[in-house]
Amino acid sequence: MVKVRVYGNIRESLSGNSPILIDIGQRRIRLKELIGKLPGGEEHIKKKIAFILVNGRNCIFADGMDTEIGADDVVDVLSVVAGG
Amino acid sequence: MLEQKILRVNLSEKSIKEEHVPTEITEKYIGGKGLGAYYLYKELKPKIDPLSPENKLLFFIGPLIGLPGYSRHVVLSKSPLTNTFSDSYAGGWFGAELAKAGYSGIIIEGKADGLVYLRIEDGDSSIEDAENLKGKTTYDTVAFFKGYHVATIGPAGERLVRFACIINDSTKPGRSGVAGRGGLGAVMGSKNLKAIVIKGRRDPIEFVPEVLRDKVRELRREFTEYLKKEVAPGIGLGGNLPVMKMSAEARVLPVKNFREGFIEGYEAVGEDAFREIRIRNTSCYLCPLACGVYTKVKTGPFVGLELDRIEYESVALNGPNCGQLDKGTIAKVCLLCNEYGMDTMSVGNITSFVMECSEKGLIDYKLDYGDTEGQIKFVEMIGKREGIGDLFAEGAKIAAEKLGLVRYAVNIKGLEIPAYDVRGPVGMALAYATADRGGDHLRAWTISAELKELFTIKGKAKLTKDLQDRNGALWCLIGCDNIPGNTTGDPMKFVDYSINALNTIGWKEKFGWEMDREKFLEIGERIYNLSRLFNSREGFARRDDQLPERLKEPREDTGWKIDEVDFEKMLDEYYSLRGWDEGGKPVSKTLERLQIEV
Repeated sequence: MVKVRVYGNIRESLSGNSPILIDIGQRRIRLKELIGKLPGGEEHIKKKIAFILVNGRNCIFADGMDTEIGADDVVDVLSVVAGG
Repeated sequence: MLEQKILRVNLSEKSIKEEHVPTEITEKYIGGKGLGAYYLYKELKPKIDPLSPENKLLFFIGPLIGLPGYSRHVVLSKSPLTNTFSDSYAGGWFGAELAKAGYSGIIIEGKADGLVYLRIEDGDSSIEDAENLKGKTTYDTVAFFKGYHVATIGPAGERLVRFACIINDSTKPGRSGVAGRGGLGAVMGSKNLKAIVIKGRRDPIEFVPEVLRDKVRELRREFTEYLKKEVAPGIGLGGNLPVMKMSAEARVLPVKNFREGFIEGYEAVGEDAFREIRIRNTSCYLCPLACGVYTKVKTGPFVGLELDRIEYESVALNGPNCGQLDKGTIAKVCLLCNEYGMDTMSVGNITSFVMECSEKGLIDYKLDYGDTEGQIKFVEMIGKREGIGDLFAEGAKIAAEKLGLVRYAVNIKGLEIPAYDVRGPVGMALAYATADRGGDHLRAWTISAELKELFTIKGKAKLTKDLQDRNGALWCLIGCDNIPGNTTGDPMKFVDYSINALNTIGWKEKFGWEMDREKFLEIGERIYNLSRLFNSREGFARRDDQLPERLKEPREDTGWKIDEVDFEKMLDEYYSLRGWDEGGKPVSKTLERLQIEV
């Protein structure tokens, strides 16, 4: 089961659930596929805009939305903060 | 105001001279930060002690003063906190008063024999004795000079606290301003200069050629409408306080010295909590936004306490980052910082550093997270340089090095970092690390602009560079950071407004060419390279463009981290785009392209 933790206003749009456990069996799947499995998934995240971390590391340093995810991984979805 | 006249004041020689900024320098650097960077690089000897008479303290305004959104001023010097180039911006009315007195800037040199203040009244300026103001708070000093607009240091500046600030207009009905970062108040204190007091009588529009004045008046109206329609809706209560909720919910709010990113009950110090105790909002000269938040505490041990301004960074760093969720206590801490004249951001960051070390038994001093009494006592000890406060008045970096506790001091190049944990939104990490004045979020606020390409590292270095250049250019005019930061529209619209305004006040007539976006941003790039050159000359290099130890560790609550390999990738790309060598120094080809004479 992949654990997906969702923060901020993105969580509100995903039925308020966090963490969300997603069963991918023993397969390895791409991050975009995993996000697509969330309720409302990809579209919500695109609309609300998010940073996505895999095991605490921003996916931009791996393969972005093509980063491979396994059953033991933890995915964090953060909303964007604007201010200063 | 493209004809720029400055005052050069030598406190050692007790001399005051007027001089004009050469036309070719205005053409290359415009004003504000640009002029400051030019004069600092040209006139400061390398490796001087920032608190010695050899250092200089510069005040500048921008040529668009007189338009809403451009009334801020900048203070620049070599920082005693970081030893880097340092520029710190303040709102309020002081900058406009300098323009009304006929000047675009002041360069302070040397050191007075005893405590003095500088009086500027139209064409008449003098250095006056200020012994009677010794030890006075910033509020008392501003109030003392009735009828003047005043920028002053408090007791912390006099005692050379390395993060002392310079505060203006704090007892006036309008918005006060604070040149908070980098310890420029200590530079002022090292010169025995308590205050600068100004009374001017001219309307800044008088500095625009008469034939262009109707156009400028029209521009004022247009700007006011733009600010009301596109920026005011994003301001919320003001003071950037809406950010508290966003930071907390996104788990990037610093908690307990940047160990965690969320604290239960953060709402107690959020925007709504401060709305409950807001008395009024205040504004800078000619600005319709009124983002200054004046509060009065209604409950708790500090009931009745009034504070002329409160900001997100001050609240976050002295609140959740210190385990403190009582808004009255935070207001009291901020008031003390203002009275002594100290940077609230540095103070909050240092307090949380001491709290963590205390909790872990690493120092022989007891200060618990959330301990109201202890927190206030500690701030006072810093302001007075009493006991352990004397050590921490040197700033987190120096104190941590002396104590052997570098791991717990969250700073970059000595500047205690702002209130965003960048282990999630890592684009900001590069912006923090490459900021010319040390760990800072204002040179490039990358997060909003990252939206187009969120899931790739590609373009993040360019984004950081572009925003640094854009802000470098806007700070020549000293356009308010709240405008591109809070607009509900495209931030570049403010850039285009600024360029149009420069042309309207006679740029083409004076220089023979019209300002456009490309040239404007190139000027920003020139300035960013000049401040980098200043820092390179001081010995700063790649080894200093690094994150603090704390941000390299996995976060205690979420495990988020930035590993060094990831970070170095971004830094490599950034240097390459900048035209700097691998060590982070601008190469000669870059300097030639940008017409920077070394």
